[in-house]
Amino acid sequence: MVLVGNLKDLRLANIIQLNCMERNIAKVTVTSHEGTGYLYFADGQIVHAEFSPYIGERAVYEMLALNDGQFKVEAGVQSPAFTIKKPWNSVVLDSLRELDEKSQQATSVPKKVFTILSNQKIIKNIIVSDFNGKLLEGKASKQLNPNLIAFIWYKLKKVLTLFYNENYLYTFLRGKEGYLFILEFRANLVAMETSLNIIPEEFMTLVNKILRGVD
Amino acid sequence: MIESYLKDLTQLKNVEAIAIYSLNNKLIDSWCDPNFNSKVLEELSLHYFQVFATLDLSVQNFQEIVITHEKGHFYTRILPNLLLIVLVRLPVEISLIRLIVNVKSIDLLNSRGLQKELKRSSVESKDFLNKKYLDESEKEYLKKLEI
Repeated sequence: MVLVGNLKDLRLANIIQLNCMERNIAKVTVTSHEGTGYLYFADGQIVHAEFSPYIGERAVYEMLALNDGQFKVEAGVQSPAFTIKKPWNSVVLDSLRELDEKSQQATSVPKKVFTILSNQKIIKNIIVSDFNGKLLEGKASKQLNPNLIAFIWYKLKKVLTLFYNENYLYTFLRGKEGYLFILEFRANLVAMETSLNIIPEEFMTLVNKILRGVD
Repeated sequence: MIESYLKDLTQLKNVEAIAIYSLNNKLIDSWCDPNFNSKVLEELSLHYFQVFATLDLSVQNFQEIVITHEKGHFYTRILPNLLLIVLVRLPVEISLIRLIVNVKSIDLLNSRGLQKELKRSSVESKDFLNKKYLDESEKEYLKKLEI
């Protein structure tokens, strides 16, 4: 049996709850403008999830963050992998709590981050964008193009996720004129240009120390 | 080739893997720690070629990309005719990797073995940003970049 619908009509959290309570063996496909994700259910639990570049609990979290999109529920589809060990209700509740905290902070964070970091002399230029490449603070330039930054972040994070389970910290690119740093902060991407005189590790320690002041 | 010309890298504790690729994404040589799954090295490079291709089309000139995660780094460098990737675990510092690459890559690039390998690999350039190599999100990002 296949059930299709829109996430605006039936929330993903409810779809998860339904499948777990009913102890269904099922696959749920979620299609949105941010990508396509998959959730697999068995024995009353979510056993596996994919939402590129994430798998497991983080993929569930990312899918729960979607406000819009289509879903398709297919009964009887077995999971190709088992990446989630936590009970389904913990996965969902933890994700929803984190999403709620993020949404409360989201409005003020980009401005605070931009203001505090753009005052640092060692940073030549800075922008804050969201993961889709939407500029939130700062002035876009050839090098600090928010869409380019988001693409690079997405690709490099995908590289990391393909090989390790470790958390991504930051990326830097080195050119003749200086460094371009990209880091995640809450639900934002912070991209900064610096000169070649800085030492990346020391610079990032300083930036992280400064960002702690945003909390 | 890596064992001969980049021996200083292979001898560094915590270097997990090293791979060199021609610019049309052919794995020329690799070296890795016995615990490391070398097969993954074949998948790794395409992502980097896609990033460098996008940077080129955006008229950006970067030769080095470092991804830092909780336990180490992915160090990637575009050299003339080559892409070099080094996977290291902490506490190895990137400045040390860069220094070794700066010094030792000259002999590697001039070696007859490498020249032969590069001749053997097709000179035809690949379209790394062809849609068949991209997922939906990547297509969307590139669309916004008008690529």
